[in-house]
Amino acid sequence: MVQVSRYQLILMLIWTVLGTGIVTMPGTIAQFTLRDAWIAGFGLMLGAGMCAVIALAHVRLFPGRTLTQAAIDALGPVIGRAYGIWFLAYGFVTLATIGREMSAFIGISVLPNTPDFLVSAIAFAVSMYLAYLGIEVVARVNEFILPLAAVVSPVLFLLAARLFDPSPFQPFLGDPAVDAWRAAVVPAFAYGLEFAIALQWVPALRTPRTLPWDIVIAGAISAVALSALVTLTVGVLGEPARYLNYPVLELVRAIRQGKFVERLDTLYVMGVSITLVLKLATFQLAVGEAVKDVSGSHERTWIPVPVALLGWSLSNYLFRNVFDVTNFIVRVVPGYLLTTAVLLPGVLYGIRAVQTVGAKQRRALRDT
Amino acid sequence: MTSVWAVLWAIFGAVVDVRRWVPRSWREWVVWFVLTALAVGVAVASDLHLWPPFGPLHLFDLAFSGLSSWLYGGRTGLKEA
Repeated sequence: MVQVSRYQLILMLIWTVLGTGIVTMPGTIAQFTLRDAWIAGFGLMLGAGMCAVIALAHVRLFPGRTLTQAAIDALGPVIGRAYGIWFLAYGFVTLATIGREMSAFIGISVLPNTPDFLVSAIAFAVSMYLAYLGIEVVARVNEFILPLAAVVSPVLFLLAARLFDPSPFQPFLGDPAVDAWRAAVVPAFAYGLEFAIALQWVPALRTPRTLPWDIVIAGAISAVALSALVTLTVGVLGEPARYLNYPVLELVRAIRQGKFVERLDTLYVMGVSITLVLKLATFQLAVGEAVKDVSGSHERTWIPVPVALLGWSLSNYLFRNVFDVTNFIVRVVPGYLLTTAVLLPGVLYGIRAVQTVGAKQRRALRDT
Repeated sequence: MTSVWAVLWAIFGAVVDVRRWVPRSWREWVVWFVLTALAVGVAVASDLHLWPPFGPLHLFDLAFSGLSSWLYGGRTGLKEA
């Protein structure tokens, strides 16, 4: 039985959120506020907290089961599978969003003459193979890239810190509180609620009981990293951060050290590409588990190819340009993820709790 | 004489083991076929620029932008922000 350790799980969760978070969140936050941008990143903790509560209910009510297995257990094969299909739709739409974010980012930053669909095809092929090899391999690759991130990221950001100017943050907390909240909604719901994807990995976890705490730890680390990144971006770029699609990319491009050290954005794009591929792989693992549960199959090796194909097709079809992706993330994703990752599982656990109480009462009646 | 392509294919087959990617039961075949047919259909629609005036993104927007705007505190989207 494949088992993923707590350390590996936390790393997987961090990269799952920060993979696209590094690319899109600073720009999205800056659209709403600059002075209070540093605080908006902590909205991620709200989503992580909600996911931790959901995970706590899940591991208590459905130990060792995935979310889609839990739905089939609690709601029966027909309604449970309908729930599974809803989850599959969520998984495919998320895969499409990640894939399109990635192809647009790489197209704009380093490969302007390569068609976006080709870039996303390569990313989906790599992540498909990772998903085919299984969750343990994905977890190990997450561990493997940690040294790269731990060395390269601080160096890049310390070099950029020389250009930091605190004036965009003055007066301190100067924007209305509602602007800070609006800036926090996307990190809080769109990205914080992505932690709920871990419910699909429960059977592969070494200690599923600690999943809620692991989500909280991953959320706290991601929120601090995101807040530091946003603070640095706004401090270095200032007002123009509002008008850039990828402000962190411009932050790294602004680094110049001596005569020859410049254009370090290649390093940044390489790192982001790796984390995006890992995020695609982790979501493909979760979607693959859902396909396995809905189809009633015992094997999972046949699943990655059609899942990756459909995710890739949808990424090219649903979002024609970066504006479509940003608009979808800002207007739809908070409500969609709140419904899919919190409200519907909450209803599921409520039904299970009622079923458990009912079964206990029937047993007590039979005994008396 | 063995062709280069046969050698490459043998190496690829040994590394990837493509036979395991094939569904076994009829139920697996049905799901595989549905997902692959959807993928091909969507890819063809994308290639032919067949975007309906009221597409899937509009449906999502219709269904969830209300809840999103409630979360934002009454307004949603970048244009209005």
